[in-house]
Amino acid sequence: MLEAVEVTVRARRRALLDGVSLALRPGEITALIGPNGAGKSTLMSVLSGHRRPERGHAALDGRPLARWDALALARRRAVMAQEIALAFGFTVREVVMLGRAPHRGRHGREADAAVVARAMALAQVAHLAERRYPSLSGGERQRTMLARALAQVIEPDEEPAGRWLLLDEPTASLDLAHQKLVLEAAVGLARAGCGLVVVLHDLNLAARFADRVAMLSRGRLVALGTPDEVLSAERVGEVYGVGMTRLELDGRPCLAFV
Amino acid sequence: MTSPLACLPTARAVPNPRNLALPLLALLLAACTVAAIAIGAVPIPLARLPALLLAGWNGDGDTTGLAQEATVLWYIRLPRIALAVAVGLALGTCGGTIQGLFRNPLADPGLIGVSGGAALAAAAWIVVGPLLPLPDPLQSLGAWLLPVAAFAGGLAATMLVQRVGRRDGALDVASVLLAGIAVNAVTGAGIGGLVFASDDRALREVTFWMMGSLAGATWTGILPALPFLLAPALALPLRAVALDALLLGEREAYHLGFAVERTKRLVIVATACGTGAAVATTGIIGFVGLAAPHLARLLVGPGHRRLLPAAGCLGGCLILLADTAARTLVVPAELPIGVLTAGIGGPLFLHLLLRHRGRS
Repeated sequence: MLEAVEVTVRARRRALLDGVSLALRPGEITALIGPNGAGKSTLMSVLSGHRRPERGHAALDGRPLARWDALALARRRAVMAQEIALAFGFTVREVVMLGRAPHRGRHGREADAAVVARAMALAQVAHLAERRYPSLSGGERQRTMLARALAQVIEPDEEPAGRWLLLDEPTASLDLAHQKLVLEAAVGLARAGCGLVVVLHDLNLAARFADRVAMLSRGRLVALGTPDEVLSAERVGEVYGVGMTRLELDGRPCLAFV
Repeated sequence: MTSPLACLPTARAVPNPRNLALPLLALLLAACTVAAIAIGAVPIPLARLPALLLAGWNGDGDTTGLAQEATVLWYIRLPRIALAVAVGLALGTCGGTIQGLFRNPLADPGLIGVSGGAALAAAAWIVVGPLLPLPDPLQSLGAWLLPVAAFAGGLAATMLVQRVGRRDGALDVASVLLAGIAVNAVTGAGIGGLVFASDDRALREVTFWMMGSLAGATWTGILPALPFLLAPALALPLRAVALDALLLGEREAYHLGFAVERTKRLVIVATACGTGAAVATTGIIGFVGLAAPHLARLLVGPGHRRLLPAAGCLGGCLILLADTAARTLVVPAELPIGVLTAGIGGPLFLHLLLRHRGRS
């Protein structure tokens, strides 16, 4: 289990996160939502182990992340951050292959190549395999980084149960078709036992694909539950400061501007 | 139905032509070495090379003619060529590493002040060292302490530039280059002050740092520097995957399971060691650390596993070529090698800069 316990993060005396506790379950997609500056990305970096909070801690399987060795942690969780620049002409395949770095020497070259091929297919970049990363469009780069993170959590001949995938706005620069394909790949991983934490701006995507929704506002966790419980028109209107109306679609909420 | 995550074996990858590049570059380096041995004021015919090598080894120079050639070969040319290869390996490998560490293909040990720091420390040792009332055992270690001093200077400069160039946990390219300019200005002023204060002997030696030269290389002179030159060239490729990951950023490298701070420390110490030792033995030879990795990237791609050895080999070739030209173009005089490499490297750098700007 991946959890944040009473996490407080400050920058220049301002609290980016203020006593956030959140227990994530394996096999589920948890969407982190909230307005700009609510602390979503900060919470992601705490959950990934990269940022040490001033108070509280994040833990995997009950052990604080600060006490995990970087390599052991990398074998259990992968992170896809927002926009990554790369000044050197690596091919897409080479970038995705970096996702296998923590597993070096465990499976052999061919098994690793098979994982990379699978990850590229899931992230819809197989046809770009030999293209150079700096020549890609924003959406293509994003999918390449997603493929790299997928290559890190998928293991040959083994379900990804007990592993964690953290995605920071994976759909930000994707067109509609790719948004759907990428989130369906995420659902596939979750059904196989992987735990996912996904920062999403589009509340309708969160409503459609997430098992649980955690809503942040000004560094605090203001709601946690199923999309149906969290995404009420009143709460969304209050937190985001904009009037919303709620519809139902296939038993899931669907929000629209008033 | 198979799981969407099932990883099916893929078709065997086609053989990569880049796999051939490394052995070919090693051959090229060997060919350059042999050519550099043969060419010179006293030409050494390749056919007689094995005999001469043996003669020098056994120390029996009774046949006249053979004796002169064997002496030239063993005491003048071979140490110089060994030094050229070692310095080239070190500069090429360290240049490629620094470009990776700074995530910028335009970084170069000279530009960011590493060479300057090393040269200042070396010059300080030359001028001030003999004046220090050192106990006798340390005095006789002078030749060994010179590369150590240069290493310390290079390390200090790298750490300073790294510290100044950091912004929000990432190296900011503009800040790094500006810090390099500042370091170069300070080391230039420092060396100028030392020149002003030095006597004739020290003056000649200090001037030598500024232009770079492999002339006068002797076995006893280069032996102390060889481990410092070769260790980084051999050790840095072992960190190739970590350097690849660092190109994505320090946070991404951490996510991929690398001990980022430890890797960076090791890489900084190794590059300062290689660059410092190169400066200590040959003075500042600019642009090889920039050009060699660039050429290597064209041949083997950006992955450090192939890039670093390839850049090392190409660095060796470039120094050998430049040094052979330096000692043969204006016989019996010699050109300073730094003048040659900077003369060719400067325009190359401008070209890279323009192309880089055209792309972004």
